[in-house]
Amino acid sequence: MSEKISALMDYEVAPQDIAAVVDQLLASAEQQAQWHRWHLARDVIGQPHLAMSPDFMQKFAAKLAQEPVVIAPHRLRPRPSQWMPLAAFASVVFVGLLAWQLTLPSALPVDVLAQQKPVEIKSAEISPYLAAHRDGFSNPLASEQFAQAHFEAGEQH
Amino acid sequence: MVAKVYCRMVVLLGCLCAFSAQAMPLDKGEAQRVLARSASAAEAVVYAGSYIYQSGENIANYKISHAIENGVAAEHRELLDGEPREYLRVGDKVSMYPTPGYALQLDRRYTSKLFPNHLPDNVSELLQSYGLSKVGRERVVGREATIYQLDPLDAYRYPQRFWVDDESGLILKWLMMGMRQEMVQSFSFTQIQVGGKIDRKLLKPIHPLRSVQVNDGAVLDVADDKKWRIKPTVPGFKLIKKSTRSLPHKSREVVHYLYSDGAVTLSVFVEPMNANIPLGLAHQGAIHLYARQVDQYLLSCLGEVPAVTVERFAKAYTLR
Repeated sequence: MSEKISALMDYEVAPQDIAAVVDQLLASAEQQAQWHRWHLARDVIGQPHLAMSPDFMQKFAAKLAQEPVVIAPHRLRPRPSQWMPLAAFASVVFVGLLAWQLTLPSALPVDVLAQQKPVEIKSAEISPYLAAHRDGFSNPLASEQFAQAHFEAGEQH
Repeated sequence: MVAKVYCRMVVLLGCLCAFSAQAMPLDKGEAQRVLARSASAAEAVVYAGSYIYQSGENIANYKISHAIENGVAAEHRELLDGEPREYLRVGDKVSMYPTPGYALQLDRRYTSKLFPNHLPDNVSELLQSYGLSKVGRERVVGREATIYQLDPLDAYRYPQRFWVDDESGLILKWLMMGMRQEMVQSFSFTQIQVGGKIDRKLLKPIHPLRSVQVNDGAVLDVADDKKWRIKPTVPGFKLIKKSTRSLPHKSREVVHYLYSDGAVTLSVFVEPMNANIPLGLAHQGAIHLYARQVDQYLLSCLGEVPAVTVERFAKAYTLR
């Protein structure tokens, strides 16, 4: 597998096999770690990434230099639109639709809506647990301030 | 292709060596000797000074005096910031100020386990979960010290680093790190006198102390739990305390299971379902919390450990 990862890094895997190799790579945390380490090693030795051609920066700088410098951009005068009456009609329809939706009960089940809300962490509720954990056995001297919690959802990345 | 892989390996190894130039893993015997020396020094050496405890952005200063009187170890600690707190231990008798808000009972095995006496009595158990390496040398509070690091042998805990006084073996500084080697908690002396005569006045209480009940802690076995079937899948952690207590500033009671691997503790709280605690994972820096509902109970696991550890511990509980 190491060789396949190596080949993938160098774009030496046949296009039709790439998906399979990536799937294998994703199946193992160890292989992903290896993938990361090799990229890190490549960064350290200053080898360019193959995703960009080696002279990418020169080409980019040259293209950028050729771009005209806009000193005083003038405003484009909008032409009176032939869509105006249609737009007015659409806005009336939209207001109507909104009013109709607001008067109807939501079609989505309530628990689906609840799941969509971001998890709110009430840190003040966690503080007593933190205090109890801290003075568990090792720190009966801990001052109150150490129990102040500032938790957020998820894990540390 | 294979040659390329080897070439990468060599580069990678080179990088690793360059980044951790001085880290030198110690073999088990040497590791045990280093840890045992520090563990006994904290009990046998006479010292006085002050130390700082830092957790996140919070800092507290403590004064400490440790002396041996008639062959009995005595230690006196005083919190210097905010509301005064005091802790006096003579042998295994403990008194405190102020009196704790709940019926505090201390376990005889752990009354002397405050900084700089962090290490467990049985250091070989610690070495089942961590390897010890020598990281380098540094001058700390005016003293020459050697830096050691406890490196976890698995993904269930974080590394810990400590500075050992060359002359006495005393731990001068202790750093608990997170997954990115950032500081989670630290204890460090800011001033210390090692050896010599300690002024007896330093051991005198300043506030009216009340004695705290010290018990012989029972040897606990998770298999004895009547209500829960507990099958921890994380190696190295032992149940060291189980108590029913009310949470600070709350009237509700929880059952508190405290686990330790010798270097870090982890708490599991069991109580009637309470919707205020978010289910699932939450974190504050490297400190993780995992809460889950089992029937009408809420189980929350909290500790200075990676997410996987709290999650596994919370899921290790099933109703009998």
